Amino acid sequence: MNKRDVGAMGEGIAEKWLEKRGFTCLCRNYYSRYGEIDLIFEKDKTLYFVEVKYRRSLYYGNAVNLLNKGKVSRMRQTASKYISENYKAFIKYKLSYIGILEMDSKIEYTWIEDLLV
Amino acid sequence: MYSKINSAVVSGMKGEVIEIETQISNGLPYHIIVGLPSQTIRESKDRVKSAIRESGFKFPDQKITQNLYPAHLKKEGAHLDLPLSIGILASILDFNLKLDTYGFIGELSLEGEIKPVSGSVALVEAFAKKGINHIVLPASNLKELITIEGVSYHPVNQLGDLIKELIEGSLETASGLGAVADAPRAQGNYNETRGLNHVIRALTISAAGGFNTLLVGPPGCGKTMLAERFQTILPSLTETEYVEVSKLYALTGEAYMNRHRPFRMPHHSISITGMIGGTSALLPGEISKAHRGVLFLDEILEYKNPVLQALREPISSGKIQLTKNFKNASYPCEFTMIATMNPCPCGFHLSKYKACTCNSYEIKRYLNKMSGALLDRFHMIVYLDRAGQFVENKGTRGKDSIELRKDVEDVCKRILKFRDDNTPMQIEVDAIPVLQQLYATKNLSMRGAKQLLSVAEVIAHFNASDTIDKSALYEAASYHNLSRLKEGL
Repeated sequence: MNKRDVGAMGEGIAEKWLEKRGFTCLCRNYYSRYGEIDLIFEKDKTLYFVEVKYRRSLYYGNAVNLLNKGKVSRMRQTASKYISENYKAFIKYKLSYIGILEMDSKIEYTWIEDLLV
Repeated sequence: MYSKINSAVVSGMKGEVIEIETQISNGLPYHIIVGLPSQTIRESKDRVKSAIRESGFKFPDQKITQNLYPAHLKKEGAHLDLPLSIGILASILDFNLKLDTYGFIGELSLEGEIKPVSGSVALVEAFAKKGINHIVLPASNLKELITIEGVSYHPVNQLGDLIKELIEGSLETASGLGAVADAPRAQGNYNETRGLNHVIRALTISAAGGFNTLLVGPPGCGKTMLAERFQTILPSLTETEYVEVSKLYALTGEAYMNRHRPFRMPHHSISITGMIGGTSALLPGEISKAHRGVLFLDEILEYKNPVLQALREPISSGKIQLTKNFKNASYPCEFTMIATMNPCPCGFHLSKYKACTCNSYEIKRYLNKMSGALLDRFHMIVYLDRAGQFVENKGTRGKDSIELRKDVEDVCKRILKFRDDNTPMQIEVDAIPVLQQLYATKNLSMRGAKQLLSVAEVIAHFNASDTIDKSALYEAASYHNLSRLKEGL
């Protein structure tokens, strides 16, 4: 299993978890020149651009600490591009994060709905 | 998740209680401190994070916002490390203690050790005024504090231990304050001197009355040596005086950890700002740091003239009002000034043992550096000459400093008793003509006459007499050697 497959697996877990909570998946791995968005969901007329981080140990620290302002601003640019391509008017959106920590066959989820607050 | 912690900051001469609000919310891990924090406080973020982790707790991977209330007050100092970290931990842990009546101060090391802070006296006073009766503070700060009724101190050494105690719900209270450091003072003792007892007597009187004293003499006669030992005969600071002094020192970030009177000895290259205070932050200068103590100006004529002239007004009023960029600050500066100088460029003018090589013009120019107005502010001017012959281990030994200090303390008590009874000391009838004669012959100013009388009063106290008699007046006049100094003019 290479890194890409691990990432895809994490995204699969995240998608299932969120769909159970009423989110509808619109797109997986949307690319732009600014970067990639792992998952795009919709719920209550709001778009959720989700960054997924999958970890099997805390050896390299908690994944949430890898996010920073630069990454978030790149996500925002990609999100605007997605919206301008697919929607005629402005639509409410949020940049979100889901952290998945799979240790000892238990899965722990860290869901941050809005990174911009 | 929200918590509120009390702390305090130093603002001017007094402390102000502040509230540290902490809110932790879901979001990008981020720690922000708002409410006019200084650079030191912004840097404390990293100390807080490391100290919490090293103490065995999890630092939240969430968005942490901390607000310092009131937002308009500028906050300075590293002593907010401890309350900031308690704020974070109080919002994620359950403490079995209501923290409303607790105040926290302390600096943290990366390891979670709680380090001493400066200005604790002012901070503690601010807490007590606001009714915050439980004060958690670094253990090493305990010895500089004074007892305040109803206030209990909780000394701590480690952040980890403190958190455990807070979770358990009981904090260890200090049983008593640390021993007051009194024994080791400045180096030296007056009993190391030989044949200088008349000057030591003058300095003893000056110590009891707080008289400004000028020592004049040739080089190498012991002026500086005597002045440096002056601290050894001064009575200790009273509790209220100690609070004043330590508050002044806290402003410049220094801790005043003992009950000795301050002894300041600035080098003659000092600037006006260094001497009287100033800079954009309006900090106290040497004269305020010498408050309730001694300002020793060695070789007073080498100081810049504007610096000496700037001293005139604060010496008389006992306080200094500083103004810069529409900001004002007023600091007390009631100090005893001890100064030394040579009577001429070569130093031997007036000496019995060596001829002076200066001409009268040189002497005049040299002495002109000392303005009459400043000279008038010295209560006592004492001339000391070089010893006539080499008397190592011979000649009269000076009195022991510890005995002298006891005398000074007794006289101080006597003076206070007279002041409390509101009975001004009377001049004996036959001494009045002497005073009139001295006023005329010594060409005194009214201030000079007042100074002469107050010196005579302290001498009378030393003689355990209830009135000022002729001998006290004559002795006081012998320390008023203005005319002798001006002989060369």
